[in-house]
Amino acid sequence: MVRSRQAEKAAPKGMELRKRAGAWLQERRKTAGLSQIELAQRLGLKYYTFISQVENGFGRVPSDSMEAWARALGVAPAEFTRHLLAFYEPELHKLLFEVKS
Amino acid sequence: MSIVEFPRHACASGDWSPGELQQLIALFRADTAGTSYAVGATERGEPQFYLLGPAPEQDCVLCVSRLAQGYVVEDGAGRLIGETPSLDRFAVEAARAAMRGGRSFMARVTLAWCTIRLAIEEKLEPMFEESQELLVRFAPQVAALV
Repeated sequence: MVRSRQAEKAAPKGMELRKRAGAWLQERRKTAGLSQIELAQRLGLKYYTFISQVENGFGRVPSDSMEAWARALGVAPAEFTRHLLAFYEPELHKLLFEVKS
Repeated sequence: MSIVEFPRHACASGDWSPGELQQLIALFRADTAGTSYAVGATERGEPQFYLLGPAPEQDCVLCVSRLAQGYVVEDGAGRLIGETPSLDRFAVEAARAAMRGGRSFMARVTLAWCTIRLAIEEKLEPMFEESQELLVRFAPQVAALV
């Protein structure tokens, strides 16, 4: 559940993409049968609040912990990173994986 | 590392009280140009306050979460900045966090600014008010002498 002061305005593209990434991550976590607390535990975080921050679309999975997130969620790290890159860096993702030479 | 699992707050409804929200907005000047905020909640219903950076990206600069035993402040990358039992003690935590390295630049600048502003409000404003009171009291007498 998220309410934003910008709710009435059109959501900026970056934020919209982060929200979609968050929804995808939440879906992966639920598929893995984990609560936010359990995922935080697996990631060695002191609090589970960052998991919520990311799932609500207000944070990104840091690149140096993408592998840990992927393994905790039972997703192949390369697939996980590629999927998140499409949300976090869409232009880069397009160049790397979509544009044909 | 073992995770801190606070027991559910008796009145954790997923919402900030109007007083808390006003305090957070005032603390971070979150309603001024260039900054904005959003609120959300954890899976367990604890409220979160997100301080957002400038458009168009509006990255999260700071996240304040209210858990059963106090408030947890993290930067946009999930690095723990501080834990404080009350928002009134936030200035102390902010000062400590702003001095420490390893946090995002934006978070440190925001916290440093908060600390300076709160210090001004706490220390200097009462002095100004006192001077104003003296001025109001003595101005008519001074005017009478002129």
